[in-house]
Amino acid sequence: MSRFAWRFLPGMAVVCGLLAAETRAETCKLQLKRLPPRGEIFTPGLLTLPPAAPQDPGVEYVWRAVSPQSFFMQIMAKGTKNPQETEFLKIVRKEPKYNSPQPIRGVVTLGSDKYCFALDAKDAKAGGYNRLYFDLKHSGDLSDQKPIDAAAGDEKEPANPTNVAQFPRVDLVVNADGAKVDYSFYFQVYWQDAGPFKYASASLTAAVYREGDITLDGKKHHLILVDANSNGRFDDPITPVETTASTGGAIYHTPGDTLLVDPDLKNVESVGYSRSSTYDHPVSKLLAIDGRFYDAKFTAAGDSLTLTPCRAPLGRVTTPHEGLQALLYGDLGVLRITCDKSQPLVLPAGKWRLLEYTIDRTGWQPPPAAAKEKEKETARPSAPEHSLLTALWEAITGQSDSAEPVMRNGPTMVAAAATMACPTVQVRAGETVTLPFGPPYKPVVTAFPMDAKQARLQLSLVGAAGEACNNLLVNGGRPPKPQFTIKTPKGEVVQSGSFEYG
Amino acid sequence: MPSELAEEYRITVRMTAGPFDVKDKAESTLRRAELVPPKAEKKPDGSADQDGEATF
Repeated sequence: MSRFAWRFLPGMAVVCGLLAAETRAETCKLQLKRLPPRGEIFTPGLLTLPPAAPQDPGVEYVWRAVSPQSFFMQIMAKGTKNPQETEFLKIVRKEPKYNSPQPIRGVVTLGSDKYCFALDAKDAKAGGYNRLYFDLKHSGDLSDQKPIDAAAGDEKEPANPTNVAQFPRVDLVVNADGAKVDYSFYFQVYWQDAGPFKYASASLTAAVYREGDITLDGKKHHLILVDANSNGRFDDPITPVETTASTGGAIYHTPGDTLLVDPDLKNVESVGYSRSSTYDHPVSKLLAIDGRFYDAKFTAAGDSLTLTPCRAPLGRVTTPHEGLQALLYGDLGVLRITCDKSQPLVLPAGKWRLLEYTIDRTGWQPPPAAAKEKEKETARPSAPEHSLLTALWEAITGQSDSAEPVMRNGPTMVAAAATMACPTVQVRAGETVTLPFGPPYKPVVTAFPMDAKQARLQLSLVGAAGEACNNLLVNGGRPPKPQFTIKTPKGEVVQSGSFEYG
Repeated sequence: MPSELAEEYRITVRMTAGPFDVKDKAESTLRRAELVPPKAEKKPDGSADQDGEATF
């Protein structure tokens, strides 16, 4: 099965390296594809998928993979200077005559350049922000631009004080590291112009992607390259950001672009709830395809991709946790790996650190009823079913049989993000090392004093390597609420209850 | 609130997470904060809100 194709028997690791070294570099051209123009569909609070998608499953894939550039702007009183407009004022040379007394001005980066834009009202009396001026010519002159208007009926929802405008797809040419590249985006804005705090939240979402085929070792692979962070270029790697313990010790990453390799276009739903499918690769200087590792060179324009066999020596990693998929980073780049506990996974030798992981155990079934009943007996006071004591227990704990996970066909998974506590994994050529991440998880309670007499408790689940869980699903739902008991050193119970998810 | 309770408490957590192993009876210690049992408001169904939150 291809999704596990880059698992090899230990003895094959060296052979794999030799074969890869004998393969020459391959370059493929990636053609520009645009998403459809936005239809006149209005969904409050949600950027709608343009129509015409059904006949092109690739569009659905791209739509799921892309994230917008977002802007939050305060709407100032008329005549009041907005400090958020400083950058706009540096770029703009001339502005149109606005209908709105409080136009919204901003700057967006596309490719290598910054573009100014302004949001205005189509009609001065009606107000709102249903007109977009965008510096398509990159001249700094917004007065020279034809205004882009939201489709009629998109901009107002009378029952809701928050207003939304979605604009038609915008096409332009951007400069990506000196190359002139066709590009497209969708733009939308929400605004709140009533109440004490007036603001607008705008977003720009890529409406273009690259597509092509590459042949590696005689096998053709279908590639879709997505400007997943909607910044007009296609070569952005994920960049890990390590924080110090004093600021929480979390390791997060900046958004990067995405390369889909052989996506199953007939099964869009396989993209999954975690968006970490086996064909979803972060743009990186190292790629793994069909068990081979390649040094990858993307262009900013996304028009070509060159893959050269990686000559790094190979080692192996293993994990006891079935269904573990992780994002690792190191000097060689960022890699998404998919493991199972049955056999080691080949990985280039070097130092690797965890960014994040999921363990997917979808399909898991709880123990048989008899065993479950036994668990209940040990966890609860012994009492007949439906007794007064049972009802009292449920009232105290807020937990009843109905609160336990309902058998559904939903996912069973846990996700976690790295912290600086997670150790570096040293992969040595020809050797196997065990990834230290995953269960058992340790509940850690942190108390935040609210005042002299009360504290707020926060529960986090910490994995074996110090990673912090950020999602947990059992058959599509949350597991029973964690229970807590607070005791004095003498064993007196001060308080007990349950934690709420949220 | 008794003064002898002001310095340190032991917090015990129990939870189950399907197939994922969670250490039972994990303990944390609370210091430098005083606690009083929150006055839980009864809901129409007889249950009560509890203080505390979990982050996932």
